[in-house]
Amino acid sequence: VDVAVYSAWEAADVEAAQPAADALFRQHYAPLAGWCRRMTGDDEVAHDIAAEAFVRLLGRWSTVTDPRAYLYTTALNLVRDRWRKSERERVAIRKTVTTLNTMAAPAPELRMLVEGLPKRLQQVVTLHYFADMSVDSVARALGVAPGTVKRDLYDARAKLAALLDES
Amino acid sequence: MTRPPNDRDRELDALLRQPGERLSPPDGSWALVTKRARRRKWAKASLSIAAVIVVIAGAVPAIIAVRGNSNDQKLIESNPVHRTSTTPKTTPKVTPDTAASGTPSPSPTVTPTIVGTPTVPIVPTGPVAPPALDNFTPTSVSFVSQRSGWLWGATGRGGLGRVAHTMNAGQNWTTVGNTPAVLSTAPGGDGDWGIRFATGVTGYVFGTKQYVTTDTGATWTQFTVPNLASDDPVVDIEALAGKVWALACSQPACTSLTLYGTSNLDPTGFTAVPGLSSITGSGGSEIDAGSITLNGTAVYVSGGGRTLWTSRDGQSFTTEQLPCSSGTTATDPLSAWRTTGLAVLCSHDAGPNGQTSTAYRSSDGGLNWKPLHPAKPGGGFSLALSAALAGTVEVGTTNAASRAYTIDSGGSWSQHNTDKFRMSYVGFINRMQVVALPDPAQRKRGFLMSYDGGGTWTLTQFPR
Repeated sequence: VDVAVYSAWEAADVEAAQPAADALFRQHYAPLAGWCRRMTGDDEVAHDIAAEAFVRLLGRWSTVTDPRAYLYTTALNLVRDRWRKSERERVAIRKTVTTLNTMAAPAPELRMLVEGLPKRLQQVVTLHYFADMSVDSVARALGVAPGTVKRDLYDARAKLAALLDES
Repeated sequence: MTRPPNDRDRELDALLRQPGERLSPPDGSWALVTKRARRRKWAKASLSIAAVIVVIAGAVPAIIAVRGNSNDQKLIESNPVHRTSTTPKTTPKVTPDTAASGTPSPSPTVTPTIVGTPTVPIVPTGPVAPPALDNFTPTSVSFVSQRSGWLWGATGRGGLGRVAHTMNAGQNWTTVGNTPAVLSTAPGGDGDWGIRFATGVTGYVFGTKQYVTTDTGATWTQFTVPNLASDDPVVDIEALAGKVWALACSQPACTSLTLYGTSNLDPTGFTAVPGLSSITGSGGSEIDAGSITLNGTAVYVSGGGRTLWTSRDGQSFTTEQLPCSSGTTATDPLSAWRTTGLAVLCSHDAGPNGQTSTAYRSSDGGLNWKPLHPAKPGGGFSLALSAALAGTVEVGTTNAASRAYTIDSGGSWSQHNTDKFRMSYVGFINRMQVVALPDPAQRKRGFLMSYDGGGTWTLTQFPR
């Protein structure tokens, strides 16, 4: 293995990707971070997650075919991690503080609805509704048939409607 | 009750198809992203190099052994017992360096327990459990988000400082890294008294000596502010929106304050703010206190008890006056709740009756000030003040009978439940979450957190 050559190629890859990635950053950072804020209710966390998604995208630049889908999928995974941590924290904090509800995140309804979906449906909903990708684009990004995406969206809407009724 | 399907669909569509919010990137985000990406690439490459070296290091002796003694090789192949690895199994045993005496030492002691006969020196690798937080007394706190924050303090009385980190809004803390800095419990003391993080990874410990970390506090490197004498202390560092500001004091007596600025992408590249002369003490006298307060792009610097530098954009500064009258000084910190909303405590010596203090607020960036009315009940000398939203002011006080806070700019005051805890620092992390540190003279081994804007407080006390 020619480690030196490999390293140089990897490093150069990021440099070569700069202009395109720069444009992608300008176009997608703000909506991605805004979506992360809706999902987490915390500006700092939203910036952290959006920035981390871009860092990972740059790391896999040469292998990613749909950067927007990759960004939102990565961000969704990081948001899920945050939800899990937050839930543990909420349980711990509720034991000592009864007024935590006043700290509720902005637009919790959407976050709670999406959180209530199975993982697969979360991804489809995120890409279609929040990343604003067409059914065909989502299907290509996930490597499934468009019909599968349509069915998942239908299932997701049914579950979301049920969750809305419960709320 | 189940809603009609059409209503439900409309509600669902409204939720899912509402225009997405946009959250603009802070200054320097893109540069930070590319820097982190590059760093990870090199780390990955370094790991590959290390792996190659390990493989070669393992393969060469094996080849030599095979070529050197083919009979042994046959013996090994015919006798499975000889196939047992000669690599010793090591179980690193970590002994926290905070013994019952509470005396800290610079680094944890690691004693490898060796099973089997070692053939090569054993170097423990990987993370080492941080020392415990027994007897930890915090003197400075810095939160970069609702959940992630750091405490600077020491175990026992004085000595080497420790950094503790929380990732869950102060519920649990662990020490990270070890700084060689000596702790001082108050600005002006011989040591380091403050901690500030500019981002989730880049932070400072400051005072007589300055340290910076770019890995969340795991490692700290000493640095000097350019053109600042080695014994000139930094009295405050604050960071927001990609900019880092430092206020430094000239020695031997602190007779002038100078403001330095840098970007969090170049965390040690401080330069004096151009066109801004130093704040000097009256007649060359020593300056009591100085502090930096940030809100959005606005920068406020107080110093010498009277002077206020203000800048709406962090570029051009004007000089204003604090409301503190003759014989009074501004008590640290000045506080801002928005780009033009400020609050400050003025304290003065009331002779035999001790010190008193008055809180003032400004809604025009320090041009005009009004005292909070009515005054805080119970009198006493307030040590700390902080403001979040307009009209929300929290006051810490030395007087246990007047532990008070107001959420309407002093229109009414409520007592909070801090018992005998005297606050020397109060800071809003967001509009509901507040952290308070004890008066150093109390030597409390803990701190207070409020999750309802200062109404009720929870004491976190580190074990003795």
